[in-house]
Amino acid sequence: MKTLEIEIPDQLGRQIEELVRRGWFTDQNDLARRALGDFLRHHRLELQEQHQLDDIEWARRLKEQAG
Amino acid sequence: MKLIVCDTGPLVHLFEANLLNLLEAAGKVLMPPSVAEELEGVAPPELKLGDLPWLVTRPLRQPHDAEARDWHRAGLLHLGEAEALALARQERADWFLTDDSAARVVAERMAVEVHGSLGVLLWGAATGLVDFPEAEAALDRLRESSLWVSPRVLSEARDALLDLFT
Repeated sequence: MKTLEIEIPDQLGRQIEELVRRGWFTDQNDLARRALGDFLRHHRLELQEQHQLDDIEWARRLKEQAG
Repeated sequence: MKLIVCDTGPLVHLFEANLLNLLEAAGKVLMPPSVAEELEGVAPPELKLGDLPWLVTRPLRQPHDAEARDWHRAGLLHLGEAEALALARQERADWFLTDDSAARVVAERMAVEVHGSLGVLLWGAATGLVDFPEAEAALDRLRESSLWVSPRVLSEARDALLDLFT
């Protein structure tokens, strides 16, 4: 099994600890495996990227309209 | 002042990036009951709804309650996104805010104006609510939040900020 060592923001770390403490996951490794699997199965990366690019263009148009 | 309906994602992401003040400045923000419940479960403990008087929970009426349940039961949208989109239609909101791509696709098909967390930050920059240094710092905070932002989007957003402030 591959081992990943990652750094995460403190706030996210606290949320992970809380979810494990509440009993939703057996430990932090369990949560991380499930979260990564869920992300890869369900995340529509190209679509989400396009939507964010659309918002960038929207902001540019707003600026142009404001003169 | 805008009338805005928001699902859970942007509320959490903008909170993590310390940008909720932009939503408050934009107008009145509504959320459906399921989003309020989701926030209780997934939001960081520091995000307290009682501290946000501009964020109001608004129930769905028929036929919008039924359409939200249909979208959810059909597997098109999660319950929070479904209720939020239905609420945006019910209230004829100016903006529907979501970072969920499925919800955004459905909203666009229904001619509902929809934006995401990054859009809110860039709107703040385009309208002069934040200055360039703050916008750059906020973009970094948004990248470090739980919102997924690709390297390409980050680069394009940085370029856009330069353009918006020149």
